[in-house]
Amino acid sequence: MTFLAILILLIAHYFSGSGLLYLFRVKLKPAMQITLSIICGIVILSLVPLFLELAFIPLTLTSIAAGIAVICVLLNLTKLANIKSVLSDSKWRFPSIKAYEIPFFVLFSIMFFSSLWRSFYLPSNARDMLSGPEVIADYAVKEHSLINSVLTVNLESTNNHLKPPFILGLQVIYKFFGIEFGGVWVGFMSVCFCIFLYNVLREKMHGVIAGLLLLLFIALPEVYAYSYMMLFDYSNMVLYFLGVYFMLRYFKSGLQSEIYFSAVLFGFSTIIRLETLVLIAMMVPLLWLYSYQKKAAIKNVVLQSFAIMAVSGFFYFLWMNIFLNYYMPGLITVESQLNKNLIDLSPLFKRFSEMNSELLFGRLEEPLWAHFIKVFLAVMVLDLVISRKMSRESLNWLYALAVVYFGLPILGYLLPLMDLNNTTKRALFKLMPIALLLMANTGILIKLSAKLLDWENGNEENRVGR
Amino acid sequence: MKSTRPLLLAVLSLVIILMFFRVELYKTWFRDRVFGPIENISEQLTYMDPHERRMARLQNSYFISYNVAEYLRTNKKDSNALILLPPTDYMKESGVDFMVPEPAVFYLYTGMKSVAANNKGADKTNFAIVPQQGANLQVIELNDQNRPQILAQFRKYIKTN
Repeated sequence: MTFLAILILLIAHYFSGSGLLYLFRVKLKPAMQITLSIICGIVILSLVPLFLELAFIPLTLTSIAAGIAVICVLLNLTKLANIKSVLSDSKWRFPSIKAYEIPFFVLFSIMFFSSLWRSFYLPSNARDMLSGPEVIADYAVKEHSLINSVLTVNLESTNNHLKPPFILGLQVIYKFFGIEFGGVWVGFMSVCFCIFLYNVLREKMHGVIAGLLLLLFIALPEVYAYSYMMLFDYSNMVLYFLGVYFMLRYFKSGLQSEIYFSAVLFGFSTIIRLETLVLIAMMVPLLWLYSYQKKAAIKNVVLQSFAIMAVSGFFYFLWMNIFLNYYMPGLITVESQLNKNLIDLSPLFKRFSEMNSELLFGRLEEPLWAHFIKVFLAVMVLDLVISRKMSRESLNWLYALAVVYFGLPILGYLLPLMDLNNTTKRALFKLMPIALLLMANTGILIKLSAKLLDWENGNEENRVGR
Repeated sequence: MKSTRPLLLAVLSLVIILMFFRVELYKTWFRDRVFGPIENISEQLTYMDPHERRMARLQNSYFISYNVAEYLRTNKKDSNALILLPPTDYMKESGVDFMVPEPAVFYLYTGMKSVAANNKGADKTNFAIVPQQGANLQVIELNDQNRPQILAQFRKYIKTN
């Protein structure tokens, strides 16, 4: 029964996400389309318990299942209306796998299996979960409401019950479906993301190099730990990266739908961690720069910028100003979380310095990131020495990297509760896939990929990727 | 010749993977964090009960909390007890391996309400978990006479910012 419940939820994630992708006319390779649909579907369904609560509908298995069904149908209405063209467009064929990809795929499968099993089997032991989403979800199942007896317990030692509804919603759903510790969605999220990321790398890289790059990413010790352990940061990294990826994709394709889809993905990352809003705001100038260079119509730029901030702002507003204000009143105010002395910039410099000296390049570098940062820096320096220039796309990824690198100390300065060794450390996850894509856009790796492909094809073709 | 090249590249992939895991950091990580847990699966399959899985994962923090609640429910017939939780540092000093959960987590484990000695309502608690000689624990009933002494003892171990 448990397996069947997991399968039903996985299918529901896929259908809801796939409907969203269709609405935004996102068309990718099947492996990317499926994994991105599941990732989006995980976030979409996480909102079901919140919307039921907002509508004062008691949380039961029936109401949750009906909510999921309604969301799936609503998101797929357009698709259903055009079912003939959808079916004729979808010529499914099994993706071709090259022999040299097999060793990596076998290895990745072992890693994915390890993550999936543990995300299912192990109960959460993270304090942030146990004293927040986990306990509220547990009692939501018993008491049919997110506002339950947990709020009558002494909560002086924690603010975790006020954290955004992403994990809470998913845990409620999975527990209602009979999956005792929820959690399996973490495994789905990480596996889907790695498959998606591999395919993104394959757009530019030869399979051998893409495999090695993904291996470097999966073998980030701290990040891998959260591929099965429930917490906000892995999912936040995934959705933020996807937001950046589709923004930069728009810069290449010029397709309006991609920048609006990027806005939705950024919004999803905000509902996972609200402070991401600041980083998203810092990404908007890149859009302005692109639009200026392309001499885009000002009306379009304003609309796009507004969409990016409005979707994220909506999710922020929904939780902070609606739910916490009217449904769980008096528990938190934004003002109480903010730095009261913004004139004093010393905490900003201190955080920036500690982030570098402790987390990125200091004693914690190897335990957290293994040799990833060293490899990244080596590739970048080599590229600067050999290629001596960066492509427009590389510069865009560099900008995205700088947003996280400089944005996190700013967040630490604005929000004193965002400490170095927990919040900032895990927020640094967002740097990693961006750094990976920056490497994948370096001249030296692109040339190496092209040479490998030429050799593989006996110089018959000059094309990179499949 | 062309058809054998992907196979040669497959050998290259294998060599790269082998070299990758020759690096001590990655070798240890893979053994401890990826393959080790897979080896445990056959044993884990014999312990599928949620209570057993919680005990294995959360250890004494869960096990002791659970037993305290069971004791109160069966022996004291008191499901509405308000329990005074000891500070973890006090437990450590008394030689008891008990990472004391915070009240919200204790509620998750047991369904019973609790407070720490520095929390509001500590003066209304009716049971306390206290260490005994020999690194054991005891649940004692609180009254107006013994509560202030126990609170004072617990508060010695609570760090104030």
